[in-house]
Amino acid sequence: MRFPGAAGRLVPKLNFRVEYQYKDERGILLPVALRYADRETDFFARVDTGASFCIFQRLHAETVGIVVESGVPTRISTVTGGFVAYAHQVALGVLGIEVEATVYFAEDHAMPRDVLGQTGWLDRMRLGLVDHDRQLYLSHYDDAAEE
Amino acid sequence: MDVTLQPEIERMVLDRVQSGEYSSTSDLVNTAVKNLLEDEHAAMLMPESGKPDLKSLELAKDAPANLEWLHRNRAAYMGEWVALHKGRLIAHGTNGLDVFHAAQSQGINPPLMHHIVPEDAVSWGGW
Repeated sequence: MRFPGAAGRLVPKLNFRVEYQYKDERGILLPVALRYADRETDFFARVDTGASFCIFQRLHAETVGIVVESGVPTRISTVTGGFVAYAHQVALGVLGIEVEATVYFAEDHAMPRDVLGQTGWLDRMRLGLVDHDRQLYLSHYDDAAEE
Repeated sequence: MDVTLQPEIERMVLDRVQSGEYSSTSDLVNTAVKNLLEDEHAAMLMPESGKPDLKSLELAKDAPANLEWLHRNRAAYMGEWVALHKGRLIAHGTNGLDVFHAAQSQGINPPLMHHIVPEDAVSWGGW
């Protein structure tokens, strides 16, 4: 942890590529464009810094032609139990920034959540958040960071 | 090859040469052009990661209208998949794939797909 003066300089001021005002009061919902081969599907996903992976509903895989069970299976644990999901390589476009990522699609059609988690999305981004104002700032990690 | 520099750039070049950073104007210009072309080449070879994505930017611009539609109509379509486009309902039903294809057949490709489920009405505890 770095405090002003403690390391001989101030905490850096960061630059961001995009500023986005989110509306939903039950979470931070971002519109996602998921691409696989030449096909795309769009949906809202929740930013979840506590989620290890990006996990999406099975339907989104099916709409772009992914055979869900052809991916590597993984058991995803949650506070209420768990479920099986399959890993696939896709492109994720969020707020104008596209990344290639390994994401997970739930085996069960009934799993109703779409989550942008740490591995695959958060770990490629620089994210700023002022929840009081419902304001989110986003850059790709490789963008110039400091002013 | 004759190259005419803009006066401001010419001044910067001469300053650098006079400071001894470069041995001559040719040295500086050659170095600068080489770096520029190499950077462009490197950018072309870069992986897709982080590239600008105009379609998802457009999707973000439509998000408030789509969220507004969901906020107003959630109860009426509970349990269904809805296909939205710019705040307009394109198709709906309990079979998501059918809904997606119905929207495509109306020329919306892709629609924004959303599954309206009762859990959305309660607080989310995270994973």
